[in-house]
Amino acid sequence: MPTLQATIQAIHKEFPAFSLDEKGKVSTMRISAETLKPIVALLIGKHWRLLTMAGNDERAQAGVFTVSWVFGLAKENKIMRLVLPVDPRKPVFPSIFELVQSALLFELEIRDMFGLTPEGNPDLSMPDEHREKMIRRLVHHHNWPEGEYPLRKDFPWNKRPKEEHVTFPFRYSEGEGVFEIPVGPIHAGVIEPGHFRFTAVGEMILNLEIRLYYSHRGVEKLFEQKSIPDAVALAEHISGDTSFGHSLAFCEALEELSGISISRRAGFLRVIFLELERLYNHVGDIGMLGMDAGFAFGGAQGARLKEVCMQMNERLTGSRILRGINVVGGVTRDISEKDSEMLGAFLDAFASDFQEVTDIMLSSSSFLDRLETTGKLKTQTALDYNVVGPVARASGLRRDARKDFPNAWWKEFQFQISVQATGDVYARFMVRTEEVLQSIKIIKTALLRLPKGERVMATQPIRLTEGACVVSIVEGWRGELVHVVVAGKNNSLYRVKVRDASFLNWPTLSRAILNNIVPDFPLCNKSYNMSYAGNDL
Amino acid sequence: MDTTILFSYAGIVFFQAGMLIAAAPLVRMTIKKIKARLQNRVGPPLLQGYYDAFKLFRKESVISEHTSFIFRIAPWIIFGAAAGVALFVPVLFSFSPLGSAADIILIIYLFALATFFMVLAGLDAGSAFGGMGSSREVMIYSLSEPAMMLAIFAVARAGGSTNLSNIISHGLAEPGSLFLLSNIFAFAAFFIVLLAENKRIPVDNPATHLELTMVHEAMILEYSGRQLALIEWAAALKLTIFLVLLVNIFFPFGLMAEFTFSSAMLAIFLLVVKVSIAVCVIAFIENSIAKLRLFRLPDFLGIAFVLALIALISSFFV
Repeated sequence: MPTLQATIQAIHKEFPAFSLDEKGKVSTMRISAETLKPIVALLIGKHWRLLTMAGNDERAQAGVFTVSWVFGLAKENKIMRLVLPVDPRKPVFPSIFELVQSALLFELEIRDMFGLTPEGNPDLSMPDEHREKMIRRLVHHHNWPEGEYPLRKDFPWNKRPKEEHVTFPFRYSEGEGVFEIPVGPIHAGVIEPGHFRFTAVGEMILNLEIRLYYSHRGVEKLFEQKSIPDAVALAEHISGDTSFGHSLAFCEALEELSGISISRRAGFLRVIFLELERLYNHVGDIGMLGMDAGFAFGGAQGARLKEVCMQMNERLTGSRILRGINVVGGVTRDISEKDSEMLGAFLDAFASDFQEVTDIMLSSSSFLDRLETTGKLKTQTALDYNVVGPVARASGLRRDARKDFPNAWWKEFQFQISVQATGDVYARFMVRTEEVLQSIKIIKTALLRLPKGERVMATQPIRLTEGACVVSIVEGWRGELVHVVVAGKNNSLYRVKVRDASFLNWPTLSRAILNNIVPDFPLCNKSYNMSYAGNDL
Repeated sequence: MDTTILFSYAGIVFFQAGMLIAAAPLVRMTIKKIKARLQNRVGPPLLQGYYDAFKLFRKESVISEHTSFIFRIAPWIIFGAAAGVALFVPVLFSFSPLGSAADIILIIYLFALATFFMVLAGLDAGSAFGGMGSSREVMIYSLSEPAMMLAIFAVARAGGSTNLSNIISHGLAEPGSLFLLSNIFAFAAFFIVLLAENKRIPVDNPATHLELTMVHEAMILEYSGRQLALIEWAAALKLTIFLVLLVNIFFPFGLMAEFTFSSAMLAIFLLVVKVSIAVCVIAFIENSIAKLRLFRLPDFLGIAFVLALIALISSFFV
């Protein structure tokens, strides 16, 4: 019996009071605070995985806030949404951290954005050095006043609250020879802002605390103000290097909401572009790993290979980072017969070029010595933190949304999920290397089987039903991207919850780096290569 | 002593030192340029080192209010020590014009003085990076210094003196001795020490922007303007002096015993050729291997120490 049916039957048996509302692949269940934990325990027991959590302000419609837990069932491609109404007079909801550790950060995010307190969340507050209990805010900056919750509907999108100074209680250690190294948020290179606070003894790292959210732009709030074409452009700007992945997740969500089906050709083109994005980013990462290990050859060749990929993107689409392609209903750029031949020839040449470069890199013992055993993320830790993408696969988790939550087109492609067991920087390097070759194969297959003569863009008008909710999942190059979209009145967007792969993976970086030495951190960080903007939103 | 000889000696001293100081940024930039060419990049212009120094000398120096006088005097001491060494080193002549003062141990400790003040200056501003750089620098220095000493002693034993003039003259007088086992091992050890002392790959990455991995760069992070220019010039000078020592001790061919125009031209030409070869080798190494893990450095410098020890022991069996 498929797990979905088994789960539904078990839920019906144990909680007869709740009804399941099934719509497409998403089943929604409105629950109460007392039954949350037993239901979550039941879902976890049946291998459901927490994809994201989203708060919502439904005071105008129902007089309540809601908190939803979105669970996914891999392979069967099913989504379960548990919705808990929260009374505005008592804005609390239970934390499920004992069952799902990765819920911790989602709960803190909901607290900051909606002012709903996750009861029992152990990360919520911490005594500072004066032993005073301080709230550990996740998203909000020091300057943001307490009590302003930007995703509530009565908070205007363009409001600029008064600047305040709210201190943040960092974890700290004391002892002989223990010292702190604060790094960032402004760095020596041109990279995104993030504050890393190391506690170290000599060169050995005891603790790493990561403070992000310096590039918070209010993306989720902005979605609610945008028309649909503008919202697609906004989705492209969630994280520049995942422009195509995020806009794809957003467009797929809107297509499902409005019932538009895209042509097979458009679907295949999206597969090609998604893999082109994976290609240029993975190749760039492989080069950057060489660069950060001080291996000049790898750095230079990686930069060159990434550049030729991006030039190819530009020749195909007019955009080096594949922007302006996705629209609701298909893609704006077709690949002509001539372009298809050019791309095929390019990929053949590129594959042998890439393999030569990685062969040389992997035959350098000094380079391998830097990668091996550095920044190990254990499989159990990866599982506990619900890690996704190449980081998860390098730690032995066979997770890939292209296989776990495939859309109609992905089901037609055969490919291997590359998995490594060791979870160190080397494993992440190898996963990326293998995925580059897989991507090349996928693109070539897609080019061969590209259906001819179909329109690549649907012309149906977009009509959204108010209150409808969909969840779309795309395997971006960093890992699984999840968009939850709730439609509003007159084709507006009531709530868009975006979850980049980085949100789940960032916290594990502080675990992987433990017992490593300080100068190995940049290498470990680069092997993760998480997005700051995609995480901060 | 005849005054003309005195003047000509003074002329030699200042000409050689001036030549080293003037050429230093060029030598450093040549490595960068060759590295860039090996990576299919164009690279900076060869004169970029001078442009940078010129720019920095005109800029304001920002000094943290938490620093002491050490922070301010350190660049002068570091540059002074390196420039002082430039006066002793035999560059074109097979002897040092300062005669008995050109003792290799004096040279090593003048550099040690510069390193000491560099480390203090790194600690002085109290930033986490400076402290990290200084602690790493001391670790590396404490390992590379014994290796350098032993390598020098191995060569000095053959010449019977630690004076550079004697070492080089002996090498020129008996070219066969240069290819003895002890000399070859000493050369290898000295080369590793050169990479470590000048913070080249695989010990430190001079091209990195990653604060957490830096050694030399971490110590000078707080410097700006004229003081930064001085420190960078001193670092370039130190590299140049090490290269000149390397080629002149181990391959002293073409050095002049006395001044004639044609032999001077030959000496300059051969020096440029030899230093260029060494520069190419360094650039090639920097392109082909990764930086070592920090805690692998003791092994790497241990190799230099063992090589130097073998060199010293085998020098007794000639």
